[in-house]
Amino acid sequence: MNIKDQNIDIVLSSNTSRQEVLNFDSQTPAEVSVTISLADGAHLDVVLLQENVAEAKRCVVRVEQQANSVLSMSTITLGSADVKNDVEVRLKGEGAELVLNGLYLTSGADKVDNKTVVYHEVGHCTTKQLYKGALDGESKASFEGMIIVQPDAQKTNAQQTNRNILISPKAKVHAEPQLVIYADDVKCSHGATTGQLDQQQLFYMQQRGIDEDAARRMLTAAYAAEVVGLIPIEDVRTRLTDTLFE
Amino acid sequence: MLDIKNLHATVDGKEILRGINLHIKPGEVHAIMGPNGSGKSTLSSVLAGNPSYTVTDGEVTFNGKNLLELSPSDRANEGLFLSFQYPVEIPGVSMSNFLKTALNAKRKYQGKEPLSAAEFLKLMKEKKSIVEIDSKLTNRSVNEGFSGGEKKKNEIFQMAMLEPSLRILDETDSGLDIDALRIVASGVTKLKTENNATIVITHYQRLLDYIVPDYIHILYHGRIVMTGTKELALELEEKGYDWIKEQFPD
Repeated sequence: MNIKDQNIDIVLSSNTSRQEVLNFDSQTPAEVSVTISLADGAHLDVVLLQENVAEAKRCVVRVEQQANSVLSMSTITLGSADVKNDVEVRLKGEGAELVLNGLYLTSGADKVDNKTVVYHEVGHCTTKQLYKGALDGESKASFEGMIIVQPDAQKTNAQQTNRNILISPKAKVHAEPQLVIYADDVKCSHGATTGQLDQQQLFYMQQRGIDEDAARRMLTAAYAAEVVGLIPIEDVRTRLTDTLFE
Repeated sequence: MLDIKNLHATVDGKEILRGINLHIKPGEVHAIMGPNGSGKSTLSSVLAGNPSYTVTDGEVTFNGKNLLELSPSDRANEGLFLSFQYPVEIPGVSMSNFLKTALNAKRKYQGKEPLSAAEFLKLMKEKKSIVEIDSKLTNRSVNEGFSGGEKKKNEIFQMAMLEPSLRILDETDSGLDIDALRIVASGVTKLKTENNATIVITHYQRLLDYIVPDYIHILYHGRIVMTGTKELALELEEKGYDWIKEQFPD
């Protein structure tokens, strides 16, 4: 749905499931607040889609997950000028699973910030997080991601990955992945990388007649397709993949 | 077709090519042999326009154009094809998308309309049989997870699709078992016409049993020090590269 209201509540009762696409467009208020509440065993797939939005948007997402609930949330920001996303997830019931992915492709003077905080409050919960960015022009992006594993959250399994490529030397990215662990029996990892497009791949493509710009676009699409490929909502996944490679 | 005059090139400031002269006509097959480090792969990289190499002197004319002024993609679209010694893996880019983009880039360069999806698929099917490439491979990402032999077959498959006029095979035999070598070499031979020319770069004589050259050039220390016919490869096989090294001390 296209977001028209400032406040959006998504509440799923026990063992129900739903798929939701939240579309940002020019009609969307400048500040949006999304509240998600998943009862025991509920399953939500949600995509925040910020495609070619010219106006500044702020999006605050607050999530609470009860036992054995599953949330897959993808924040996809493509060609948008000025976006700030602030996501906070509290895993409050054992066995809750969170997949928290993000993609930002920026160019020109775009500015995209993503901040995420995940609280593992109880044990036996899982977080899998992958945020990827590709920055062209003089655009700027930041990723600040924190996972906090509280003392009672034994057997937590948390992975956080942030990858960035700078397509242009004038683009800037700030990456700050953080893991704060107060429990001792957990499996956690995090990492951030920033690099450039692979020169050998670029040359190989050019040797086959694909000009440098087109080769860059294809490699960027391939890089971004990893995050899009993880979107569980099929029609969104297919359409976005086509958009990337067109 | 290809005219190389006094070509000098450096990589990281070190001179690797030190005055190459080579003249190639349509329909000809030229083999370039030489010990490791003689500059064989540098020559192919320079001709293809690899930005890691700097041309410091000399001229290269390809189909009447100054090759060295063309971008790597324009060189390819003019008909220059390099079969890479180490084909590059491109995860996330499908073989079919890659080849369709390459083929249509060439057609655009030639002022032709792009191929329709149906025409493209028909062409893929037709060309696949030439190198006996598995259909499963063309559904995957470019070279991703391919074995050494599959990667080399895939180079020849791409060559079949793009129909270049100048085919440069850089150490195509390296890492191939005898069966894969035979398939790859027979693909190259099947695709030979009187209008295209071939440069075979190799360390060993073995490949030249399958792709028979009109001329053999020995490259040593960045220069062609000897040119002969196919018998030269046999002599080299017998006497080894030391024979060259002794005649042309550093």
